[in-house]
This record gives sequence, C-alpha cells and structure tokens, in this order.
Amino acid sequence: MKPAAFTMHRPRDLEDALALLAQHGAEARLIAGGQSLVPMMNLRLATPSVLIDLNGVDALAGIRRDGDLLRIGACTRQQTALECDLVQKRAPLLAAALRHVGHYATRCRGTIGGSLANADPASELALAAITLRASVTLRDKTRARTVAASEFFLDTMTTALRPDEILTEIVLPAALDGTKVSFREHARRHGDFAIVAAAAQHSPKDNRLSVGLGAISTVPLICRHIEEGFHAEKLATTLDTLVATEIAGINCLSDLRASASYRSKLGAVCLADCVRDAIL
Amino acid sequence: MTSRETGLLRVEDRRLLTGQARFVGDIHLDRMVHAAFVRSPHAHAEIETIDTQAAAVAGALAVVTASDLPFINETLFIPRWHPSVRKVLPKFLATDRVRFVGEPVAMVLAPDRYLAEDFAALIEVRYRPIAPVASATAALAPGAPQIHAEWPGNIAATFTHAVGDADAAMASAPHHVRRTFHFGRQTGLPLEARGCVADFDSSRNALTVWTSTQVHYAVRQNLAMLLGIPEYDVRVIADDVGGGFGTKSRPYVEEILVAHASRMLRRPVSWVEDRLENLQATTHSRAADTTLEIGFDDDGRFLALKGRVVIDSGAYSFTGGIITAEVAASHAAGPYKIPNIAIEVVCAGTNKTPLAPYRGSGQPEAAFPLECLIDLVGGSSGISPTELRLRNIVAPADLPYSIPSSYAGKSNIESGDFPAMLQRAVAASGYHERVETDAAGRRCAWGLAVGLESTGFLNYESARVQVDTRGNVLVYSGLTSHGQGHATTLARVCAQALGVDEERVSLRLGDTQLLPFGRGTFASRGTVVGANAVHGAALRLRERALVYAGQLLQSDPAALTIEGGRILRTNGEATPLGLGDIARGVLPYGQFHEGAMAFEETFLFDTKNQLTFALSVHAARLIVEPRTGAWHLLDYLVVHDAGVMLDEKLVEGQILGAVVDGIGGAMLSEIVYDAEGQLLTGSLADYMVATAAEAPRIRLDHISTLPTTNPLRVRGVGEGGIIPVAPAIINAICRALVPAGAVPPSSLFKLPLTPEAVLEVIEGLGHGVNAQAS
Repeated sequence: MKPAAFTMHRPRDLEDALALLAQHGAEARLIAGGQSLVPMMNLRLATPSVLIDLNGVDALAGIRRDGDLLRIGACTRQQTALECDLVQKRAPLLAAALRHVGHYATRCRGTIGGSLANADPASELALAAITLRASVTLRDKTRARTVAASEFFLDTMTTALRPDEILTEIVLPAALDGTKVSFREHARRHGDFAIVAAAAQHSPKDNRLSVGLGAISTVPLICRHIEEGFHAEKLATTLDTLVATEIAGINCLSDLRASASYRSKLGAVCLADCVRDAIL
Repeated sequence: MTSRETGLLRVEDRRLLTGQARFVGDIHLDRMVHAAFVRSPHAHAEIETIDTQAAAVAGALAVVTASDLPFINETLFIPRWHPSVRKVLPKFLATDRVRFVGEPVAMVLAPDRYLAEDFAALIEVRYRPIAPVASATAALAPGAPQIHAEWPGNIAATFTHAVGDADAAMASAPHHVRRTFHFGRQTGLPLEARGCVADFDSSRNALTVWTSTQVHYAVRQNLAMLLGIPEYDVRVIADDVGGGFGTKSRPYVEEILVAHASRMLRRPVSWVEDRLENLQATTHSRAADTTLEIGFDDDGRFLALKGRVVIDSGAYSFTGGIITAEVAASHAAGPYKIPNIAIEVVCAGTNKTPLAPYRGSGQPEAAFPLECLIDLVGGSSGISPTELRLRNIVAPADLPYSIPSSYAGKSNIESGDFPAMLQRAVAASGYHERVETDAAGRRCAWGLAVGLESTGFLNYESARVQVDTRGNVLVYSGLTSHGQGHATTLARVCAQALGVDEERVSLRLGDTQLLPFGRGTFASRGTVVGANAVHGAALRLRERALVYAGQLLQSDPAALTIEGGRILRTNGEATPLGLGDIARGVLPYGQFHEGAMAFEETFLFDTKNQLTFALSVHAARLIVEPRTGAWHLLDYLVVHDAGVMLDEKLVEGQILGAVVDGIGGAMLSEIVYDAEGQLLTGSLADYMVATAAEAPRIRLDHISTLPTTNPLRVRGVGEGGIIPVAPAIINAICRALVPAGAVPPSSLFKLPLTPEAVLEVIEGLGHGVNAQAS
C-alpha cells in the first residue's frame, strides 16, 4: 500500500494551478485534503503521474457572504466550515450535513470542494448541495462557468468537471431567518459511508420546502414530488404517499452495506422522518 | 519515572503513549532493504509461468519464487495435530497452484517498499484459473472442484466428539429443540499487522529476527529447522507487539522467507504487512455452521446434545490447523451437565484464507449455538431460560466435574460457584424476561448468556528472577506482551513473592535470548502459566535469601522475612541486611559463593496439563427500531470470576476490550467472499469492527473463587469477555421481536446480524410484532 511514483507541484496561485493542469492534462490529479485520493493511490487504484497540490492556493479557501449568497472556497476544510458562524447561521443544512461527514480527524483535512469533486454517491455534501440548489464554479485557464449542483453530479464518482477545470467554490443561497433544517443519515456505524441520507430545509417565510435524498442511488436526488406536493397542514395524511411516490422512482444501489430492497425501505423511513423534522 | 509518579496504571504505558515503543516498523538497520510479496489475485488457479525478467531489469535486488527456495519441500513444524487432520500445509511460495486470494507467489526485494511494490507489479504470472470452491456448502457438494488430492471430498478433517450415548438418550428424551446457527468468518485484526525484520550475520552464521508474534520460540524453532542454522544461533525478538488476538499465535511463511532473503542478500530485510495483505493473508477464524439439537425432560433437564459443526476451513491446514473446531466440539455443552454428547465436526476445504484461532478460539463458536438453544428450550418448555440454566449448570456439589477434550485431555472444573454467578448477574443487571415498548414502537429486551473459558492451555512457561548487588530485581519471562500489561503484573507478582517494592523490579520478555525455553502469550495463559513461573522463581530466590541471611544473622530462616528488599526478623525488628547484600555474598569472592555468577533462580511452571476454567455471565439490554431493523445496546453487565486478580484494572481492561470485540462480531464484522472466491472486504471501510460509538456502558461485577490449579490462584481472563457476547445479544433480539410461543426464524441466528436481516424478520412476523407493540 505505497503509491506509485508521482511528481508533485505546489502552485501558489490559481493561474499557476490552472496552467499546470492544462499542461499535464489527464495525467494530473488535483489534491487538497487527500482523504479519498491518497487511499486510492496507496492501493494503486489511482496512479496519477502528476499531483497538483491546491493547499498553497490561498484564494481557494474561505467563506464569505455575497448579498443573498454564501460563497465557500473549494479548499475550505470541512471542519472549518462546520465551525463557521456564517455557515451555521446562513447554511444550517450544510452544517447539519457536515456533522455526518467522516470523523473529526478526516474533516480537519478533507475539503468542501474535494468532497464535491469526488462525487461519492454517499457524499453528504453533494446531497446538501443539490437540496439547497447550490451551484459550483468551475474554472479553466480561460474562463469560469457556473453549474447547478443538480447538473454537476452525473454518476458514481463522475461529475461535469472537465480534466482542465478546477472546482473553485460552491455558492449557496443564504438561508432566511427562521429556516428549519433536518439532516438524517443511516449508516452501519457513525462516520461510515451512509446507506441512505436525507436532507430537508423549510423556510416558513416563503413556505418553501427543499428535500433531497442521498446514498440511495448513484447521485443524490431532489425529491420534487414532496417539494411540490407538500402542504404543511395536510402533512400527516399525505407524507407517506408522497414519500412512496418518490422512492418508487429510484433505482437503488446494492452493495455490501445494504441491498437495493433494504435501501428502498430505509430510504422511505429516513425521508419521512427528515421531512417531519424540518416542518414540525 | 515510576507508574506511581506518572499516574498511569501500567508501567508500560509511558513508553507506549509517548511514541517510544519499538514495533517492527520502528526497526531501521544499516543497509536494510524491503520486501513485498506478489500475491495471488485468483482464488484457485494453476500457475503456468512466472516471468521475473522485467522486475530484474528495472532494478529489483532479487526476486524469489518457489523454485529458488532450498527448503521448498519442507513444511513448517507443527507441535501437535488432531489425529483426523489431513495435513496440507501451505508451501512457502506457491509452486504450481494457488488456492486463495492473497497466497504468496513471489517475493521482491528492493531498497524501499515503494520500489518493491513497483517491481512486484512488473512480475508477470500467467495463471490458468480453476473453478473455485467459495463456501463450505459448495466444498461438500457432489462434484465440487477438488482443492487438494489429499483432501478427498474437500474434507480437511472430520471427527466426532462423543460422551455417553447421545443417540439413545436423544431418542428417549421426551422433548427436543433443534436449530442451525451460522457464525460468520471474522479475523482478530490487531492494530499492528504482521511484520518482521531479519538480520543474518554471515560471518557468524547467526540470525536475528524481530517479528510481531505471540510465539517467538516457535518462530525460532522453525527458522532454525528450515534454514539449517543451530537454534542457539537464531535469536527471535518480539519487542513491543501491537496486538495479537490469536492471529499471531503461530509462525507464518513470511517470517521464514524474509530470513531467507536476508541470508541470500547478506543484508537486513524488512517486511511490514499492510492492511490489505493483513485481511487477505493473516489467518481468519470463526466461519462455523452448527446444527445443534438438545433433548430434555419435563423439568427442563438436559439429557442429550447432538450436533454437526461444519467449519469453512480455507485452503490449507494451517499451523494451528483445526484447533478452533476441536475446542468448539469439546466445549459444545459449555458449563452444563449434559451426560450424552455427540458432535460431528467437518472441516471443509475452501478457496479462502486458512483458518486459525482468534480470541476465544472455538469457545464463542460453541457458546453461540448452545446459549441460543437454551433460550429456545425456554420458549418451547415454558420454563424461564434463567431457571433452565440454573437447573443444568455445574454446581459446587458437582465438583470436580470432568470436561473431556481432544485438545487438552481430561480436564476438571474443580472450583467456582456458577449458580451464584448466574443469580448475581440477574440481580445486578436488572435482567428480566419482559419486553418493553416505547411510544415510537421501539422494543427493548434483555438477553443473557453464559460462557465457559478454558484458560492456561499449553503447558510450561519459564521465568528467571535475578537480584543485583544493589537489590534491583530483574525478571525474565518466556511470554510475549501485546497489550496484556505484563510489565505491570509480572513485576507485581515478583515483588510480592520476593518481598521487594514493585518499583525495584523490571521485566524483560519477548526475546529468545533471555531464556532457553518459553512459549509466549495466547490461550489466556499469560497469568495462569507465565505469572506462576515468575512466582515460582521468586519464591525459590526468597527461600535461598533467607537461608543465607539466617547464616549471617545466626538465626533460623523461619524467623526471618523480607520486606521492601530488607531482611527483617518476623517480629518486625530490622537487620542490617538487604537483598543486595545477599547477592554480593553469592557472587564470586562473596562468603556464600559456590560458583554462581548471579543471584538468581529459574523456574519452569508445570500445569500438569490441567486447564483452569473461568466462567462469565453476560446480560445485554438492547433496543430494536422496528421500522429499520437497527438495534443498539443500552446496557451491558458482565459477572466474571478471575480468581485472584493480580490487577483489577487490567482484568477489567481485558473484559471490556473483549466485550467490545464481541459486539463488533455480533453486529458488524464479516469477511465476505463472492462466489468466485474474491475477497470483498479488503479494507477497514468494508471489514467493520465495533468502535467506541457502538460500545454501551459496560458494567463489571467480579466474583472471586479460588482455583486449586495454580499457586497464584488465578484464572485467565483474555477470552471470557468475548465468548458469550453474541448469544446474549441474539437472545435479547429474539425476546424483543418474537412473541412468546412463536419460533424465532433461523435468520436471527446468523452472525453478524445486520439491520437488514432484522427488518426482514420483523416483516415476516407481520402483525405479531406490531400487535404487541401497540
């Protein structure tokens, strides 16, 4: 479990990083927290010949408010985001999701952008991103583009990110005052990969409900049936039907942790609990 | 700094906690090179060709394959085999066929491990895959592919453990309960995986090996035999060992290969097993399917026990071979008086990693079916399971009670009060047999199980105690230490026997240079055999010291004693003599000198092959969430009898660690292979063990009765904490889910028990559960 030989570059700014990426193309991998990439390299499941270390690019880390938006730099550590007042206040769903991401030690190293770019089906951050209608900023040498989170995750470990692009930030709408959120996860042990996870955010101000379901299929899903069909006052009678409709359309994953059939049942329980938490 | 000054409970902790321990990975020798192994990616295949050319060209210092080994036709030395074993030991490197994923095929030497892995990737092995045997059932099916010519029908061993006439007794018993139980394949998973550094000195034809083992003397014997080096020129050091749990209680081929490589290259060679190798190539355990039937009378008295145990043994009769199967059969009746027993054991060869002991070594495999079956008898007879246990368990009036075993001869339970322990466990835990349901429909229940632990297995352990002229005491032991706290307990045993302060005693162990004979630490033998050896040596030395002191003081030795290293009169009066003065007298030029070079005594403790039994009773309370099948423990109590506790905290540490290990085994841990014999659990993300978050509050309650098997009157405690964990948990889950009078489905008797399996049971029971819940 030792990685194959590689060359490591440590650019100091984004332009250098993008130039290196353009130069080395598919041979290169970006590294930030390394919590997924390094184990893959140690097992030689990944053998990049070039690593471009983003840890020295200061501009990629940081959290700031931008009007109605929250901008979180890709290299912001997960634990830093979790402990950030602004995140807790204006992106409470993200904070709730972060509590389920790995363990303290891995969160202190792992980054927000790294987790999104890795696109593990069980990623809590990916689930929070699609639920919150977040977008990501992707940059190459010449331009930047913005991609909605719901269009960013394409398949297991596959995203819309092109080999010459760097995910530089995630942009979230700031939560309104009085917003209630819930994040629920079922895993074999705390901190393990989720079997299913659900996220919900309800803002009484505009009576808007956002719901997502993750780890159940290759990419996290927005639960539109629930979002559109929801009436807070009729929730008790309608929720189970809405959840059943939502689950019925999902092609559930099956692996060592859980069969598709169990994921489907657990998904229904998790989703219903999560929505109730956010509304009641 | 002493343990008293640091506030740490164990002498060794300061070194271990400040990064000053010396594990194999900490050994860095001048000119040392590194080994990596090419391991089979196939479960079953012929090796057609091995091409090492590319690795050699790229710069490998050496590539070793089977044909390079002068000892390829030899085998590891195994001190004992069950007579039924068809001995097929692994070759050191595969010759013409591979039989499990991870079997070593070639060894590569390089200046560092990174390069060694690069070169290993360049070795081209052409395999011709053969149909694999991926389960015990498949192995025993007609027409199954044959793993070894020596194993017709893929049977590695088969025998029947019999007491009385089980067929007749079962036929005449008025009531019967029968069930099938599956104990998944698991492994001991020490934090430090295996590893060794070998340093062959060609000028002296002498070999030094640092290895992460529980059995340094057995490793020495094999190295000497296979490499043709006199045993006294082979030194094996097991310095700090980061856990063993039975997985390191036998020599492995890698230790021999690394030593061979050092001799070949005339350079020190290091190999440190990584976690993937550890999960592939370090022995697995459990993997037992047991069908057990019990016959009982109207009063719930057990009359007969019949069973069939099929062990998924893996691809070779590895060193340690079928001991878990032997132990499982020998302890099938646990601590209960069952006069007629017949247990048929079949060890089925499969294309998987070979099996060997892991904490409990067959005893958890025996306790799980038996203790669950007793609760099923309770359900069928209407007699409370606790009452059934009390009626059938060995009581003080039954002692000595003989437990015949194939691995340790005839052994007696000669002491203990098992009924009192059962009653204490019920009273202290709050155990009851009702089901509690909360507003959310979650169901809570208690489960209880008993475990009998045979301790002090494998006779003989050595110790030497020396006193220098300043009164400092040095203890040598033939044991190894991998978490037991021997530096604390053995020093204390010596200090108390000799009459010195603990702080004056230091311990050396884990080095074959220290004593000519020793065995190591496994099978809960450290205190029973090892501490008694230290005790014996210290008492002998004390006796001699008092004789010399009597001569100097012109006193009857019986009127003298030793305290704090000083010779005192028994009336408490001080004398000018200390142990250091006696030592000075014994050394050359001293007044008692008779040719000795040290004031010392050596002692070989002889158990007379008698086992020391230790009982534990576990009560578990858990809650099941009926919508998801998830369950977690709310409360856990252990009543345990360790005899005299040399250190209460260390006894508790052993039990707590073992309970958590057992919780993981019941809820999480399983080595999984697919139908092609591919290992699916090759990392710790997939092979799950219990962590702190899964551990409930665990309460401990000690009852101490004194065994007569050893002078210190101790019982081993390494394994009792794991033996009854799974049945205590499964009994609680059955109680929580299955309505009284209904028969629990067999899917509840499969370890580890996943939430998914529990949910299926809940759905299968349908309204039974919900009706009760409402």
